[in-house]
Amino acid sequence: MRAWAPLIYAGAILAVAIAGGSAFAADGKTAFDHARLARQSLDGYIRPGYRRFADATRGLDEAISTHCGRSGSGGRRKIDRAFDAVVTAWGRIEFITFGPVTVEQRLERIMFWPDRRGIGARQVATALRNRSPDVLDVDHLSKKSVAMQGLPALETILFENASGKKADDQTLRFRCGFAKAIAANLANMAQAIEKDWSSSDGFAQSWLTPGHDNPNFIKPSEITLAIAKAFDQGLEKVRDQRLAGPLGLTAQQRKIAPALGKSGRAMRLIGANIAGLRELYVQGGMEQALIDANSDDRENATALAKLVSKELATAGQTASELMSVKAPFQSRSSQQRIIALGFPLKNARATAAGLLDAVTDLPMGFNASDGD
Amino acid sequence: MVGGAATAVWPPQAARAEVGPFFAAARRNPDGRYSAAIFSTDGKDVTSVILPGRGHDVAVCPVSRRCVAFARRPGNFAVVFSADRAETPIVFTTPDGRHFYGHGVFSPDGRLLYTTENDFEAARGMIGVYDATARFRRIGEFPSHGVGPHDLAFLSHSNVLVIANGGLREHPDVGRGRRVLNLDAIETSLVYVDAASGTLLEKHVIAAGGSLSLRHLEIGSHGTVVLGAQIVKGVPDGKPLTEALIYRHRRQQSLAATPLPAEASAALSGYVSSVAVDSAGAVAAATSSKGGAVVMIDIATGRVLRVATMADVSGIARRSHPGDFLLTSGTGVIADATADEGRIAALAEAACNWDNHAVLLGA
Repeated sequence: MRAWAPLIYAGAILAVAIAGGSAFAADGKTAFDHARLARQSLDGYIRPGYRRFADATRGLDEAISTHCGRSGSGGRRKIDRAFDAVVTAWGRIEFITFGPVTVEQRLERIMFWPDRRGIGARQVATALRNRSPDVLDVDHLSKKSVAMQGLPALETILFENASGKKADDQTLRFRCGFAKAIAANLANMAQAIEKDWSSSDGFAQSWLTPGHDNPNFIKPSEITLAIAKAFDQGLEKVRDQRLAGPLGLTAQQRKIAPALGKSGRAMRLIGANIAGLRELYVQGGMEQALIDANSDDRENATALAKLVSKELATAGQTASELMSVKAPFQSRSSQQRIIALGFPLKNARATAAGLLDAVTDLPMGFNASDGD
Repeated sequence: MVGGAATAVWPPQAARAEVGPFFAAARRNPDGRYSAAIFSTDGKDVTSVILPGRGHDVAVCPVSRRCVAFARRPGNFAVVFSADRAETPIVFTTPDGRHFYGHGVFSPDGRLLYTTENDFEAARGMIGVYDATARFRRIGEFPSHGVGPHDLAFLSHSNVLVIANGGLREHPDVGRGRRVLNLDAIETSLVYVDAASGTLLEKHVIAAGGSLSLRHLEIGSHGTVVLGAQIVKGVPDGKPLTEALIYRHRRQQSLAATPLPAEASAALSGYVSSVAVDSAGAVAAATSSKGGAVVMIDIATGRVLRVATMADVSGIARRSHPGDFLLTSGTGVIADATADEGRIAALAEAACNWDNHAVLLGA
């Protein structure tokens, strides 16, 4: 039995199947309030999400500066907690893959994954071995390979001790310097992204005022499309990459190392992803928008719309429980629970896609999603 | 990106299709697997082959009608199959350090196959050369004289290869190979190359730092090349999305967009998915899956003949009658559209998602 059948893009057929062939999908031509969703997603999800991320990176920068290399008084624990906060904050916002986070390859520089050939770890190891001064300076570091700038690289430095020996002072100082540069680099990027979304003449303006002169969005529905795609592709990424990848259940059938698995943060990141997707859907306004757009079958639409958030809550609960399991992708019993996590995620995705299909002016098709 | 030995699989024999003409296209099956099919206009398969990953375009040999289905970028596989199933499908891949861009073309005598490829470490476009008489063994390559070559074609009755260099730098390790890495320095170009020697004959560049990417091309009569382009989002000071996206070019001319009325350029929505030229070489048609539209123009004058809509339409191929085109969509629809009629006529609805391109297997 294929436990992990690839998800088929829904379309009208699935919408009818879910609703049991009722007239639900047929006349979903109620006007969808794109402008309201644009405002709601900005204020309810995007801005708070990037603000949290910026705060967390500042906290990590401070924790590393203050405590790295110094023994005693729980300094290491403070760094760990600060790292956790960044992982959580990033996980909740990482499937926004448009706008300021794409400038200067920030997305890859923050989180380069999957790193199928272990480039990042190798580059970090080389820099540590050679004590390259470049990596101690934020400006130089920010221009180096994307694989050695972000969270996975920081994870290698903070949580991996390849030689197993206790590091001498010089090595420790260098590692701390490198970690500090990465943390500062992350904080710079997070701050720049937050600023671009929050300032009145930044990307937010493009987001809120589609039109013929707008280089990013002509029609109001294109913003809804961006949100819908972020949600859909985010669910796909969590299920088919972050969860299926380490189990070897992808098309290539080759196991990939779990993201942030080295530090034991894999399930924390996945849990944050699921929580973030739920936040995007509920606080970001998709749930209400879908209910209101299907006013000719409100009861059915409400049930289905709320099913999406319920499934995400279920998945989030399981992910939460798995956070306390050591190496969850390795033990049989936790593997089974991870596989079970896939089902509510699949349902959420299919249900949402079916509901969105009723909004007929959205080019969410197989080819319109950049088929070229 | 697909690695390791790739195998193609013949699915169980489907019901025999009607008599031709036949078309070929990549698609996604209801079970989520990707395939390439030769099919007739009633939606029935003549034959199909399962692909190791998502496909893109299909090249058809002008002599034998063998079909080669390419992986969608940044995939590295190609699968050879034919309507008569005379031989088991051949699967070949790019060498290390290269991947396909989803398009290829046979030489006029059918003996060689030219493919657009990415030399991603050197960030330059290459044209791969494969021997179609020796199970598609790769026998050479030459530069495309640009970055990110996408589509290519031969000028009629000549050995001149026309190539659209998209100008977008991409690397398979970044953003699943589909993230643009040179947003501030995109330089797209149209080049003419002598296929035998790889010598550059002509190159026409659209200025660096723009947001335009030439993607698809077809050849009309009198050696006119018709191109469809896409606007790349995220470029600083990028062009508005209603910028005209169709170009017509002949050798020795300067390269300029064909001015389109507002309705036509709005329909294209900054994204041309596919381009076709009719059997007479007189009418060109461009689809936009994002706009859900088809725009047809008279090649000689650039005049827009009609604008029509169809959800998620992308694949477009000439039919044997002048002015007549076949359309396919991501919702499974196969339809006919002509330059002079008001309606797009749906011919069939298959239970699949037709992918970006479709091609006629006819003469």
